[in-house]
Amino acid sequence: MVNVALIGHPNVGKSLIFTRFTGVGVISSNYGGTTVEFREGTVVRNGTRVCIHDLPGTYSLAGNSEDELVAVQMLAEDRPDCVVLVADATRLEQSLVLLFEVLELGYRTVVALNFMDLARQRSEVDVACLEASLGVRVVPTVARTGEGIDRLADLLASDETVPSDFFVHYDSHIESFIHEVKRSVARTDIGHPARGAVIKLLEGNPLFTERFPDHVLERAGAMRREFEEEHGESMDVHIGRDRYGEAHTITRRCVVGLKRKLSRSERLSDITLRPATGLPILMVVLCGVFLSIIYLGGLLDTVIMDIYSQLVGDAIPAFGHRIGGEFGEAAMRGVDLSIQAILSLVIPYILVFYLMLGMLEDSGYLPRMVVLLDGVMHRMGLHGGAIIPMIVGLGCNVPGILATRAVGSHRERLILGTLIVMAVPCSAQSAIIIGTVGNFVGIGHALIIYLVLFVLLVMIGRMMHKWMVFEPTTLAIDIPELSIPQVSNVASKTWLRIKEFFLIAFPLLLVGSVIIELMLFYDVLMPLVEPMSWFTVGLLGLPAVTILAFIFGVLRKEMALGLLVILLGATHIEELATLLTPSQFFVFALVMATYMPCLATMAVMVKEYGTRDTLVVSVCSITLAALLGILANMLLSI
Amino acid sequence: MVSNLGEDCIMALGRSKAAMSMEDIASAMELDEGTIRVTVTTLEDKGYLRVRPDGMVHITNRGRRFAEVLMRRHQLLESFLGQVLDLDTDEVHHEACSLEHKLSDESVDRISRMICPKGRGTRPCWAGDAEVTPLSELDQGGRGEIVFLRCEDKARISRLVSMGLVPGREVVLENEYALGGPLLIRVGDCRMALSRELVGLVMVRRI
Repeated sequence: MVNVALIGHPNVGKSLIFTRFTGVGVISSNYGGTTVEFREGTVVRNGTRVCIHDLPGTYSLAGNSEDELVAVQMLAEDRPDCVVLVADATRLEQSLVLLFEVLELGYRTVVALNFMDLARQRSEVDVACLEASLGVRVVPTVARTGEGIDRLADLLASDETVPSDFFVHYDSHIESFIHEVKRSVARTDIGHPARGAVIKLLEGNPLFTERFPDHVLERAGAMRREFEEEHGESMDVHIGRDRYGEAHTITRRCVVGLKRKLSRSERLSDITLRPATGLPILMVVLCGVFLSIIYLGGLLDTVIMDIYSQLVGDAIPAFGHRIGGEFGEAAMRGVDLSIQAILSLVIPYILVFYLMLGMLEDSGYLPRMVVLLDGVMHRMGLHGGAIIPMIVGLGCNVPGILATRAVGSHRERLILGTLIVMAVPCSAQSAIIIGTVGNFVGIGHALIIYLVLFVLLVMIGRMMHKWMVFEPTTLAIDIPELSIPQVSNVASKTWLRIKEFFLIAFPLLLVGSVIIELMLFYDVLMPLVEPMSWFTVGLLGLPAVTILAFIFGVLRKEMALGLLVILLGATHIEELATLLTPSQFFVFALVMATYMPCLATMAVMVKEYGTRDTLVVSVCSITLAALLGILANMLLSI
Repeated sequence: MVSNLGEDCIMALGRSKAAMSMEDIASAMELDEGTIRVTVTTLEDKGYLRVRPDGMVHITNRGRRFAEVLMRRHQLLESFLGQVLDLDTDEVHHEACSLEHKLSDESVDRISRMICPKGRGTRPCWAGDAEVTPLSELDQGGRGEIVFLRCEDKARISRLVSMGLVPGREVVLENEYALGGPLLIRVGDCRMALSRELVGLVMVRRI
């Protein structure tokens, strides 16, 4: 069994290589920070088991943010047998510097030279020259098409990978320090190859150096101070300077740039980045996405429901009647209604949303949004990078909250997490807004709810920014080039994201609806409904049974919608329109959109931010939702 | 410690691009060959320079760094004497030459803070060099070579270094964004957006 780690800068295609390699689907996009946890997959190749770990992208082995730390810790603590350094062939210098760090630490290494298709249009990369200069095997790959992946797999399964004897020569002063420390720890087991670990020690990196004895740590500190005094530059900066110098030399030796005009996508890249043209384009993109979700979703809804009524019609309740009489019909009616609710209200919007998200992600447009909106985000104590978790959160809050790891300090993450939970509607919440208010009341009213949410977002953000101890935020993001999204990647990503919905939420909903039908049949639920009617009927102006939708909505937000249909005693999904008044729809959707994160979100929040903060946020959001609902009800009944 | 003569000798070698013979060094320092021979040997022992079998004197990396520190100090003094004390340009150089060896680090530090308040400590001060500015001060489309990173905070330095912003590399400032937004810069083949505050730590020489 060979343990392999995929490591590389953000957005060099590690996840796509991983997917190609293992066939295990992971989500990949055209911006850094898509992967924030590491995943593993095992394949058997030529009789050898190869276990691959897909790590979050990292610029260096310094562990500068939480997602980078995940990657570096895995390297330091688990010591994989082999490292695949995924390099970007179009920006080789940067990748080589990371490679130097990996080689210093003595890992058996293979370089996957990704984006070779793009690189070939721009330069001639001499692979043999790179192999000779670096002492490692270099495999040109194109992860998008799968080129080179087989060769990579063969190499990993073979014994041909060896640690390289290449190393960077640093400034002679630094070399003399390295020599001195190496000698002093010659008899100690430091767990890593000595030269690499000593360099990490001199850089002041705590990750590879925990086994050094105290007196050596002290001596290294003194060396750092001595060097800084004499050179007016700290040692890690100087080490970086030497590494980039070396990378530049090697690149110049092995890569010959071709003269060429800027390609169309590069020119488009420039236009989307320039503030004067970029901001109008941003508005167009946002409006376009929003409108297509509403209209394509609506279109899909009609098509699906047509097919359903033709194929199935009233078959399910009829079937229920045949096997269980009146009682059976009631139960099966619930199932039928749930299926209808899901098919017509939930699926179209979720599907279109994830398709759009997939295309946005793969086009490389999201980092442009980050850059253009950065200034505005500062007003909420966040930087532009916070846009990406918010957009992901529009799909599902759980990955949205995980994505906050790439954002920065605990303060920023907490602000962002709270905003996502309280004011960013997940796709199920959007389905409720668009599916009920949008369908039965009017799209303008749905827009008002979004507007309310947006105002909430800004207000909560500004308040948290004001009340929490200030910390400056710093944006540092790579801007990838624009590229045309690949249908297959967008499709598989969309499937990965909605699979969970089909496999878990849908069955849960069906079972839930049967149970609720039964409970309604036997009048078990009523004791729960009446005591709360002062709130639902009195304050929100909704039918008393909606309390059940609110309660079960905690499990899954989609559930609330399905239950609403059943609870109100509709026999057909369209009948819903006659059972609630427009203002009741509005209040219901508004409350659903703001209140209480679902169980899965709460679980991930506890994991990321701790129990106390999660409880505070949950209580706040329930209160807020109730207040908003009461306020809306009052305003609408005037 | 390196003697005054030694410091002058390292500076002479640091200024010249190529290796020098003893004779060249002597004439650059306006002294005779015999006087500097001992100095050169001492410096060789300390690892600042190396005498090749053909008699040519080469400066080592260590020597070159030291020469940079000395030259920055020299520049600092020149700008202090010229800008603050308003001395004549001819006098400034000679005055600086004799003062530079005697100045304590503390004084260098104070002077540097006085005439370039943004630079800190014994960090290279480029007050005399109007071409050196924070990267964020470049015009849109302006180019520069990174000279040093101006910051005490290890985490930020580490972030800048790992994104490839190290001294010696060339950067282009491509776009600026309103409302305190980021700056879009290009280093090598990479394009990145960094917050203003981070970019302001990168000192560049215009090219």
